[in-house]
Amino acid sequence: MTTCIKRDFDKVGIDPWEPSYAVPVINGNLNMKDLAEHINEDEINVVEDQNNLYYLIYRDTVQSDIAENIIKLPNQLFSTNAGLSAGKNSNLNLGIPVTNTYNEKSDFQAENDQELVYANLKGGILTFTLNTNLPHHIDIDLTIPSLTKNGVPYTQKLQYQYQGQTAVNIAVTGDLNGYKLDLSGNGSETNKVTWNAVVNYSPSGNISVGNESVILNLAITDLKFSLLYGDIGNYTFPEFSGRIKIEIFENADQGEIIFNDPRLKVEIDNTFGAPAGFDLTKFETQTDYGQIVPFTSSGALNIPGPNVISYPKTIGQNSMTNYLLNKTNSNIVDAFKPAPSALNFAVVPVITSDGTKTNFIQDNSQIKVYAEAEIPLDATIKIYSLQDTIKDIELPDNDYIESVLFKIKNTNTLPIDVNIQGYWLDENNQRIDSLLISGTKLINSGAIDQNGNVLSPGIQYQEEFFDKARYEKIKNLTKLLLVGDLKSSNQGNTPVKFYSYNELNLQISILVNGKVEFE
Amino acid sequence: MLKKIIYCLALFFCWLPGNGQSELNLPYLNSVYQASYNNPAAKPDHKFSLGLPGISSIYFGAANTAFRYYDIERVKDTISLPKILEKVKKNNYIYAGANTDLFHLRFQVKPNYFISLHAREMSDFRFAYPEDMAKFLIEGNGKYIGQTLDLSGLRVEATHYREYAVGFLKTNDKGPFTFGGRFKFLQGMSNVNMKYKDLKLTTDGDMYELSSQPDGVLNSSMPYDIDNDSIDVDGNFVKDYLTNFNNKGFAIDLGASYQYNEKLSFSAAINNIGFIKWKQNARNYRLTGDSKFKGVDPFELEYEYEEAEDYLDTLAENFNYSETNDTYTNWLTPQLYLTANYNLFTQTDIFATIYMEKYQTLRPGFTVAVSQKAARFLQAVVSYTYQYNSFTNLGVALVLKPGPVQFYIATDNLLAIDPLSVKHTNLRFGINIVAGKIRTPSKQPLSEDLN
Repeated sequence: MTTCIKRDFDKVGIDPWEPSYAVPVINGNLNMKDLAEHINEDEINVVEDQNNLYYLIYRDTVQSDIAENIIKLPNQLFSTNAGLSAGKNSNLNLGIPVTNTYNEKSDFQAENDQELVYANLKGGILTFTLNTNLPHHIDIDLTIPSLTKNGVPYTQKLQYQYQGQTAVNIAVTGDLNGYKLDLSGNGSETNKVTWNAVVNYSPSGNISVGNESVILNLAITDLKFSLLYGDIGNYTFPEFSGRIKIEIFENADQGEIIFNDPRLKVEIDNTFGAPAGFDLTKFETQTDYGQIVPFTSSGALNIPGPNVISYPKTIGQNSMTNYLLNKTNSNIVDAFKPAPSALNFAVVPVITSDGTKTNFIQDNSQIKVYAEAEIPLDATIKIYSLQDTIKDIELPDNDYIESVLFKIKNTNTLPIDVNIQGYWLDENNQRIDSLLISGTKLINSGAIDQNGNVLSPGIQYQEEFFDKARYEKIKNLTKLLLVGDLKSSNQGNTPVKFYSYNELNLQISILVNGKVEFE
Repeated sequence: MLKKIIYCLALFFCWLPGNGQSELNLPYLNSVYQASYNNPAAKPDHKFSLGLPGISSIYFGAANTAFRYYDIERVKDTISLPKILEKVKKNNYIYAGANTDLFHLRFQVKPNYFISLHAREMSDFRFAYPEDMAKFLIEGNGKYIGQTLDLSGLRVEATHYREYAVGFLKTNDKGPFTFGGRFKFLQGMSNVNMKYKDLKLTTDGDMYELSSQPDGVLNSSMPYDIDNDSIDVDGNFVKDYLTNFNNKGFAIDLGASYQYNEKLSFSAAINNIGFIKWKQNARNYRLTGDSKFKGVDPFELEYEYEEAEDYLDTLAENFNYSETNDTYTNWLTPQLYLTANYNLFTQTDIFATIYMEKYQTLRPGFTVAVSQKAARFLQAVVSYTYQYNSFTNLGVALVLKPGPVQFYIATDNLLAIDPLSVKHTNLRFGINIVAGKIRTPSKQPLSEDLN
């Protein structure tokens, strides 16, 4: 079908028309658990009591180095002269064999005032050396009663055949893994090593003048223990430190919060079987904005120290020592008042000698420190500022947009007043424009009863109109920085409680008015 | 570019008129075989009719039930889209279609008994949309805050198929009744159809939460697997497409007429009672459910380290979306013609027809027409039709038979000569070969018949 009515296509125009679209953009709930729980469950636990009151529990565990890296057994060297007397030298020159027996008790060179009864070894090298210029044959049977494995003493043979040498230095070695090194001497001593050598001299047909030397050396090196028993001595361990991150305050740039009853538990797990203690060389709270408050204590925990901890009396067991800081025995309320984002602590463990010979340490003995901050969300918030950035926002990007009405709704069942402002950020986090033209917006808390409980939510609406020019500046931005000042009700003078059902619901919707127009 | 698209769409939807397959003038051309497409009981004038490929019948038609081009033209050469909203009704319908005869043959097997065969290539596009769809597209949902836009009834269908038919006709010189019928075997070639029984979009009045409850399905059967195959059009592709008999269908047309007295007769026809079962590369995409979009939770996204896409996936999970490869059945659009014929003079007839078709909703049409024959080689029909809320439909039809060649042309809306002024039109024309004039015993033969 054809037409007699012609239309010049290029002349046909379309009137501008003005569609509008209403779209929800953001709908998010923030409760105290959301704020607190999003990082690492190993470090934080948000618990509710039977009344749904929130407790924030932040924890961290640090530990000292293990004993084998701190306590070293020094190398030992024992010697004895096995030279011949004149009579025995004559007999040897006459072709008569001679035998000498040496029963030695040597001092074990211990460090740090150790008085060791025995040590179980998991490594070590024994080197037995004959140093002589005697022109006869020598056979030696070495027995070390102090070194036993399954009750059997360590034995070693060393043989020397004289073949015209002027002097020799002959050695044999043995592995000490699995041996028990008994250092009790006669049973009541400490740091003693007993060893015996039976030296058989056989004539070689040569003549010895009688002043030749025969030296027996017993070296024990590279000792590694699995257990030390006795008086362990005195040691100061290297400092180790921990940091409990209190995420809920991580974005705070100022704060003054009076928690009703914060608590800090410090638990020491000791596997050294010896009197031990520790010093707290650092124990403080720290805010994101740099304020540091050192802890002080009038209770069992001495800051910085010394602190004595219990120790296990049985090998393989551990012993726990607990400390509790609360508002009655410490300055913990003041320490948490500036809304700290971290709790820093540094520990220096010590082992002290008490003269007892029944102490022990194992190669993996160490001191662990569990620190746990328990913050019941029952507080008076004078002021607490936080900021958070909402990312990946996608605003309509269209040249036809004439204006955008941002409709903001806050439904607040948190027991706090929030002064909030938003800033649109570019990719370099530079503030391009504010969300609220009129400045910060007060979001009233829900209605509070005399116990600080929220009775009904506070609901506020806010509408912000962005004309075309203003919207052009933000339409391609994807980040919105929210900055909020929080106060508990009554200008931060009323203690309030945070329950699991308290939350701030933030909704942002837009009404986009367009004008579609063709040139 | 968008401007051109909008303009072209406006022209397209405004231009070709006509209810897709409704042809209200054609049934009055008894001497034309194609009149039987709409009324199987149409009495032929000749014992023999033959149609050849490409020339015996070419049809196309289109309709936009909502508005004419001039309805949305604010001033000359300036379209105003909001004016569409002044014209759309609760249910609106756009149609475009074309068909052509590949072949037809009708002959009288014995007096008053006729057999016919034909094959036709058919293609249709139908788009039914509710008023709220137009509102949403043109105005957005911003003007309907706190309200529900009901997009239910949204329906799109495009079909290409071939029709093979065998028909019979029993006329009666002595009795009042004439019966006609046709059995059609349908060879489906391709189809896409989408139906939304339920589709509502509600914009919450408080914070513009969007909620939707879709219940719809999109079926498709194409010559290639749209999910897996790349389209490789070569000689075999076209051949395979045109000879594909995997999608079979059946339909019937039935008609009857009653000669009340010498002057007055009535006829009724019901057509396209049938379906096509689509198997070839059948795909079904269903979407049901009830979902609300309240906005993205940025806090959760950040803290859970989720991607925005994951969140949207979660959102989509509120809908039940499924993809299957099930065979599906697509029913044809049934049509009903009820016609009264009054023989005013020997060569002059007056017709009145009520037409109805069912697509999304019942769509009626009313036609009155005058037919004038001149000798035996000319018939002219002038009609007036009300259809698709439009009174401006002036139809004409003409048959010329100089010898055994029968030329005909028919349109339901001659006003479509200015296509911007009408909602619908159609046009059918062609050349048939006819022979064997049937004498009517009750009438005296014309002098030229005796020659």
